[in-house]
Amino acid sequence: MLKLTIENISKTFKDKQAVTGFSAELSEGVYALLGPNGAGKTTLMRMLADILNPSSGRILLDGNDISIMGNRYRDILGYLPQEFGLYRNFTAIRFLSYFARLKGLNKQETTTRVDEVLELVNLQKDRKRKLKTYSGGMKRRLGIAQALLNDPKLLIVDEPTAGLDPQERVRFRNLLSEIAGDRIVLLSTHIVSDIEYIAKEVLLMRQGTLIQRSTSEQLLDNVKDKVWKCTVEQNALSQLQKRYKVGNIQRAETGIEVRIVSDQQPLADAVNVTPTLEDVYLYFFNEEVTDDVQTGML
Amino acid sequence: MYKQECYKIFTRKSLYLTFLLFIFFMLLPDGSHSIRQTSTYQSLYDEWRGPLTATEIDMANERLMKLEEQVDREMAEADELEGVFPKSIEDQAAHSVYVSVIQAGENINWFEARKENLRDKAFHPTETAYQAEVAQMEFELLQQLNEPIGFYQTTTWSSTVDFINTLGFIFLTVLIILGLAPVFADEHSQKVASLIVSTKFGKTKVAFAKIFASITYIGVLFVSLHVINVLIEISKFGRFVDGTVPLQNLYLFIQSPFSLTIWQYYALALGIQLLASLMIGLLVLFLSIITRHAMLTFFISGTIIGTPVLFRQLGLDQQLIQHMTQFSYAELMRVKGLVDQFIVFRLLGQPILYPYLLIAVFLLIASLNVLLIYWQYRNQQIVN
Ligand SMILES: Nc1ncnc2c1ncn2[C@@H]1O[C@H](COP(=O)(O)OP(=O)(O)O)[C@@H](O)[C@H]1O
Ligand SMILES: [Mg+2]
Repeated sequence: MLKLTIENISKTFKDKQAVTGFSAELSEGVYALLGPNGAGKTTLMRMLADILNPSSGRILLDGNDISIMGNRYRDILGYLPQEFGLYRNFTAIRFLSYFARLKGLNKQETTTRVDEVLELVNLQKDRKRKLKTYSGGMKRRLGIAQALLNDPKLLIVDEPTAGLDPQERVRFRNLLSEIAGDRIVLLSTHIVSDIEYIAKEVLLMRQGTLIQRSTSEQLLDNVKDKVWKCTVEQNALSQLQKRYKVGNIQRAETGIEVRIVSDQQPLADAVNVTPTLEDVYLYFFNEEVTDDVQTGML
Repeated sequence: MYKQECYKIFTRKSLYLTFLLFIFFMLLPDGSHSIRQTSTYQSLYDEWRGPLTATEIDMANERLMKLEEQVDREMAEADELEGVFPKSIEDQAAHSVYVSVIQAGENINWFEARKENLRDKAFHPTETAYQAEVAQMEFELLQQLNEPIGFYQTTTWSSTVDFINTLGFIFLTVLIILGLAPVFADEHSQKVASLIVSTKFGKTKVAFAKIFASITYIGVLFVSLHVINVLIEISKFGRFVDGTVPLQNLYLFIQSPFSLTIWQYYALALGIQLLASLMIGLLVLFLSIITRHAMLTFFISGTIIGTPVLFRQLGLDQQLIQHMTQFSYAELMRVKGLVDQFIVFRLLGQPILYPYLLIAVFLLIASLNVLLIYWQYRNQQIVN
């Protein structure tokens, strides 16, 4: 079984510590790297994708240092960056064929494999169109198709659902669970709903460090008995937001229904409710749970 | 991979537009060759073509004198002094032939005097041993030239050969820089670099695929530009004649010490220019990697190649600047300067001919450049 070991890696940009002493061991399955913007997810993933050298620490695949493995490591790697571009004048076929060759497939393998991945991401009928005519969602799908060309044993996808509409996002999640199989999939996101069903484990990242690693169920334990719901007047809301981690706010007939994550009961009439992953996110990152932050992709 | 790298370069419309613009420049008419189509010219050409004897030169002098008397008469009789004299095109042709022959005669004398002078230097005890050696070297080169100067019809060749060090040099350089500046840089500006570098061959083979695609581009560009030029020259000046005569019959190469015929020089110059094009290509590719910016690459390579040319135009002739110019990409690319004079450099006490040294230096630079490209590419870090 494949094993990826991240050994105490750090990355410093000039005076900025983007990743600090990150260690983890991953085996087959889907892992979600969850953290707010600026947590260091992209930097970590770039180091895993062998396009950025760590300032310190090592990354090992089955015990071999990837910086020594070189192209033998990248041979089993599939990587979809957070932000990427496509050649505007290329058709999807040309684009994928180019990357298939870069990934070491021979001519014959290239033809069949390009066909397969196009099918997989449902771009068959658009395969001969120039990429400049592609929509954001289609570009993402082509990006994932590119990552899958070499049938990677290690798949790294950085915020793959950013910029997708909700429907596309669901489709993408399904695609991901479909292809998960016997590989290591590392998926970063700051959107909780992305990971709810597919991730075997969640790695919580904040300010460059791994703060917790657990299954989604275990994650919920963090906020067990700490999620409250109550109804308040409109004018009490801002006061409440200052003092507590306030999640969902909903208008009700009797006032405003708020969801609060707090160790103690925030108000007398607050009642405990079943926690969700969004509450966990709120608990750790103390931020409004954004449904989608449009990242300036493509 | 190679195919797609070629595709990326060859689908850039701006390159075709620039190329067409340059062809348009080449098509602009210059000079007329009506004189060479007159029967007078043809018969004089038949009479005098070849190395010139003293009698032939005297005859040209005599006839020129007569013709000038005739011109004087024409001018005296004319109502107004505008236009060209002599009036008839036949006489104009004769005039131009006489002048050429006389000029050739002077050049022959000058050439003999130069040899004489060198012989003195080489064997005269007042010179240092090194200087004597240099003089001897030049003398021996000149000895191999047997009656190099004569009367020939070299207009087409002269213009074709000239293209190499003038428009050809400029157009090729611009198109190479324009075409290759984006090769590595655009992967970053198009945000594809992280996709490429994370693939199996994305740090290694792809760099060579890009280099080979660039070489292909240069080759195609080079061949098309020169083929088109040859066709244009023929249409402007008529077919090529007298290509088998010594290079020294071209005005610009009158001082050249090398024993080459015109077409041999042309072939050699094309070879060297192609080599220089490839070297400029490598320079541009290297800058494309380190700047990650096509425009910046364009300007830096333009500066590196253009500055020595500018210095020369400004007439700066300090020793250092002169050496800088002599060992510049532009000088190599223009080829002419390698051959049109006798220049030696002292290396380990031995005189070594400038063209050999220049080419050796640039072969070294080019190999270093390839290594640097590979090394830089391999170790690039992608941070955005
Ligand atoms: N090239 C860089 N130069 C300087 N700082 C950087 C660079 N890339 C990222 N950072 C900083 O590192 C931190 C982590 O960024 P990033 O890895 O992009 O986080 P995330 O992907 O989780 O949003 C941020 O504070 C960011 O500003
Ligand atoms: Mg990111």
